[in-house]
Amino acid sequence: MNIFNDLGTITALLLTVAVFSGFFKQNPVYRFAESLFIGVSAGYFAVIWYFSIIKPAFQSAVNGELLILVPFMAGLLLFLPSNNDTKYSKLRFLPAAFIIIVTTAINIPVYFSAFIQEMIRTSVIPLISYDKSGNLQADTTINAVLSIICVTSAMLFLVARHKNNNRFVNTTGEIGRFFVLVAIGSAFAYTLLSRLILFMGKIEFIINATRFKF
Amino acid sequence: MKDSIRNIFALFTKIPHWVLVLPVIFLTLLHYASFFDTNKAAEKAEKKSELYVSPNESDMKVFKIIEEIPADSKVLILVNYGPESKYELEPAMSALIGKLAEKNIGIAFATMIPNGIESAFTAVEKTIETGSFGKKRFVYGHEYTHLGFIVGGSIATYLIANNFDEVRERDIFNSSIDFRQPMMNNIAKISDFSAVFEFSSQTFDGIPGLVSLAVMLKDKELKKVAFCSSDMLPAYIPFRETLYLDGLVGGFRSISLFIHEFQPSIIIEKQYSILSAILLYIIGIVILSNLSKLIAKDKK
Repeated sequence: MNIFNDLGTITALLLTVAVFSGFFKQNPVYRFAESLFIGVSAGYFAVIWYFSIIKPAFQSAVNGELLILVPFMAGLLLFLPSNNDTKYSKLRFLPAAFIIIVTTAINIPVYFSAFIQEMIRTSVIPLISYDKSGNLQADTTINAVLSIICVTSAMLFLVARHKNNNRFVNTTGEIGRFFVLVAIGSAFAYTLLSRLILFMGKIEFIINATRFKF
Repeated sequence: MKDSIRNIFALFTKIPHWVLVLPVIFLTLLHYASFFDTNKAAEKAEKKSELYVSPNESDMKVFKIIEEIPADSKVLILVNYGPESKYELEPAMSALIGKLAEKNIGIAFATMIPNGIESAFTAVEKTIETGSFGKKRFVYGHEYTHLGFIVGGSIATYLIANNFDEVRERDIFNSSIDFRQPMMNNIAKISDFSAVFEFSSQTFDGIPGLVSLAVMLKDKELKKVAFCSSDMLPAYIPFRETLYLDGLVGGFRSISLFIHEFQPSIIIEKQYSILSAILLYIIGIVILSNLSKLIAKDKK
């Protein structure tokens, strides 16, 4: 790649460096890149929403599908003034309520099947696992035992938060607290890693972009 | 004895926080140093290096599903990630596209997030650039198509599962998918695809998109494989052994392994080793700090 022939690469490179300059301190270059990013994102989303929703809906209405006017009117209701003294202002809750009801109706079976039914089914796993030839599978067995200890102790942590004098509950609850914190810490570590990969990718992009070919 | 253990942990708590970040910076810098080496090595000899992990049962299941997709069939790929997870998921998607293209499998892309529109095209470009699938042509409308942005989160998932033909009459360029695209011939409903893949960096109403789709699907035979970013792993992992996900490639370990298997031309080994070291270090710090807090509390 020749950097001088690729205006897009130069722009991307300069903007990447401008954003990274914010690591040191707030500066006009960083603020410019930040504002540009927000502006471009807003513009991009506006165009996407226009071409994905408004334009097809308009075309449908023009083609005689007048049913599309119902969601259109519902959308307009959201712009009613929020002052409750106005006569019809409460109508603005109708579309919002409809969206919540429909989303909930769709999600309830999904939540029930995925989070309750399947979770219970997969939790009742054999504690000791064997492979096809009858040998003990150490990793799966350790995993199952650890899962049971972690789940039980984490649940007892919630019980131990209320005042009680049971020493077993308190001690197990403390172990559960440790597991909860380690789980949160691991999730945090994975999120951090995810961002580090992004950072590494951007640095690689800079390295590639600035590798001149004379 | 007990006091000396407490004193050791007390020392740990006195370390300034900024010092703890230094090893992460060091390891990250090591990656850039190794980046030049790996490129040189790749140019000099086509030597396949080794990844220091072996695939487990779950990884093997994904490999098997992909290998078993019949040649000349069609698959759907839901691209639910944007630039925020590009460097994590794009190499995996590129590897999958390459593998499917090798077997002449048609690919229909669709996205449920606005940011995902471009992601599919950039992954296709990357695959063509690497040229690793040995195919002379990879033409839009014939070998692959983009069905565009399907609006509505979990409602969109419901529509894809039940009214796919009505939701997708036209592609992203507003061309009719019935008449102008051989790629979509004989595809009227979602179960006409051989498999559904999702590349995801977010959930919809707290539920992974593919899981939601799987619950609503009447066809339980359709193979479903999710690829998720590291930060999404806690949301996807509970469904790994369930009926709703036939395979899960989540987090940098599985993704590195997948790329290593299907597209070894992308050298990922050193990045994997360094990121593993960083992950171990962070988890070590988390465990040590929790232990030290627990012991300090015990002392009080």
